[in-house]
Amino acid sequence: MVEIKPDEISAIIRKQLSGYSGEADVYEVGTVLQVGDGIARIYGLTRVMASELVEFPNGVFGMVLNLEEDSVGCVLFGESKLVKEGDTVKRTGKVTSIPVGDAMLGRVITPLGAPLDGKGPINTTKTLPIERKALGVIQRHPVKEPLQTGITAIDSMIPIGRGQRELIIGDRQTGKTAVALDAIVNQKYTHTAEAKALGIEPVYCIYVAIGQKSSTVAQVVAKLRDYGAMEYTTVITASASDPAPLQFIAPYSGATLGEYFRDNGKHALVVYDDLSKQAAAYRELSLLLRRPPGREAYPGDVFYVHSRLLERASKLSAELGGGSLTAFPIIETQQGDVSAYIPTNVISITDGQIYLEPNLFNAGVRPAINVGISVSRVGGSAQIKAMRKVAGSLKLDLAQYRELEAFAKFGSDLDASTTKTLSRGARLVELLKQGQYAPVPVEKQVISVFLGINGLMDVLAVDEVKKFEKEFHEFAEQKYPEMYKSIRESKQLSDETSSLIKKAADEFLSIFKKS
Amino acid sequence: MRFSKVATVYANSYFDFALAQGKVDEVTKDVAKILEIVKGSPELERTIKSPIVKPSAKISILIEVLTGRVSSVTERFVNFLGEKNRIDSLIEILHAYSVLKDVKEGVVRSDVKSAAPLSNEQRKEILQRLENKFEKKIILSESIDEDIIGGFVVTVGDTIIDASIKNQLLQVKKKLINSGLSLN
Repeated sequence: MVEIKPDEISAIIRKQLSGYSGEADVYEVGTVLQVGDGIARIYGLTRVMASELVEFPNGVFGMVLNLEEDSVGCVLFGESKLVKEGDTVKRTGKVTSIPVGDAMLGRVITPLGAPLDGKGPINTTKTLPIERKALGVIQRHPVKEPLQTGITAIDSMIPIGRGQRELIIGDRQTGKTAVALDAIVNQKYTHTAEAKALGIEPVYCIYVAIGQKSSTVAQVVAKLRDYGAMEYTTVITASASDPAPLQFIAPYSGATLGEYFRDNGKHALVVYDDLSKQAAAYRELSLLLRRPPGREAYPGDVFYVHSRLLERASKLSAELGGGSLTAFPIIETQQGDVSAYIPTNVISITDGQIYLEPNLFNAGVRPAINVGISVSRVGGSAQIKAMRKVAGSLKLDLAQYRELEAFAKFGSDLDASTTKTLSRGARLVELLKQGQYAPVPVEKQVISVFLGINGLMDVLAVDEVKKFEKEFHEFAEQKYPEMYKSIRESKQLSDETSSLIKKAADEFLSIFKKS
Repeated sequence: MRFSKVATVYANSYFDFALAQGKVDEVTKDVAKILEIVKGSPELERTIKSPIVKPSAKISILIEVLTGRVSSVTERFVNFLGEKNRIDSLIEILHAYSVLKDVKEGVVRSDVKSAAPLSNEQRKEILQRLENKFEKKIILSESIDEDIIGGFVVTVGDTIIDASIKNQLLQVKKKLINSGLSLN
């Protein structure tokens, strides 16, 4: 125990109180009429605003959702056991908001902005309301810059642009979160000096975990930290044990934080993992507030819940700083049923979807992307020219392969051209397989796809493809670094580069076969 | 306090009727008188609210109690309630009436809680300030609460003006805790 002099303590207290002025407090109050299931009905609070934050005793906060003739319906962000009938409720005069700022990066927070990682208070000066109106037409600019996910299958065939909303959809255990995390990890390169020299601006990431197990969230945070991605990432979490209102507002908090970066001319990527759980939380709230249920017992405005959230993703016009907010909503389907209510809603809102299939996943195709039905409605214009050049025939080859796949069973009875299509397709599928947390830079992706579509791997056995690709890059980076450099800097695939790749491939093929 | 639809509707017509007859002041006095009688005699309240007692019996009891004590307007109103089988709601209607009358006349009732009795000067000052702030006629009622240590707490509708020592101490406590005061 350190010895402390009493006069030191009084000096500190005096210093703390120096700014205090004892003025009368004026506030407005109401009385709790009924409380339970995370909902409170309040009498009074005559001038309260919709979605205003109100304060209950014991430090519990709530948000006003229903304004009725003689009562106010309110959801609680804390334990409803701590609130009793007859308690006094205070207005705060503030619409529910979240503190925003660069200090949020690297932190794990609640949807209301309180730190959860034990790293002390977050020094921010600005707060923004969690519900903000999406931008209008004039303020927006068509999506033009690519957002590289580092996953070859996505960046080549389902390209995503900065400011786009791309849905990741699939059954449980198909790697939806893995795709999103890879995309976050891959943004590390945008924060390097090298990227800056190429004019690639950094992307700040926000991962919103809704209704997940706390252990899963802890794992995600640990992974992001291991791969050095936490430095530019904020994790917002409302876990399964948090009250439904917190799960409901979590994505809006994430969007607000992302908008802070966007409005400052920076780029942000928000992952909402996942919106099916958010919809379920909102259904719980709505039913408890006695709003009429509709299809699958979701309330009538569940479409609006998601559309107003995803509409906030945007690419700003140059006058407004040219910032962007890209959204990756995740939806979990049941038994591959994409025609359920929430999946169809979100599919129709977003600018495309990445569809993950358990069959592919179990067959070892990982990421388990079904490239046939996955689409990106705007990303093509955001692809670099070199990638656009090779992606066209990749898509075509894979489509032909899928068409003929059923015939593959007949083995020997096929004509030469069918056999060729099948063997090419099998190698391409193999080529697009990729491990987790192993993002590939775009120039390597272009060269790999180039090797595939030009049949430079057709002579290899299918299970040799990945090994060949890896070793080829090791070889070529040593011997022909100029072809990588050319694609990276010019973003084009010139004829000289093409012939150089072919030459390098032929050269390496002979070495590879000998070993 | 919240009133049922029935009470609000009847109180409204009661007030309008009194206004048409030009007897608002008398009726207001009647209402206060009846409420006082009821307060003084819980049996009467229980009888009026009881579902077992027949409405006709309730009316005859009430008429007997009220005859000669209240104006003809009120008597007629009580009879009318009997006819419409709403006599159970009488007391709620009367409460609703008092609130309604305040609203119609632009009067706001306010409660002042203080640790020590207010002096005349203080009372005048508070009243003056409240009327300036809310731009309405204010009727003060006072109560003593030693819990607040010093100062006063004024309640006007949903708004609370808290100038008590207790609240100020709470604010100081909050400030000290939030400043992350440490001795290192």
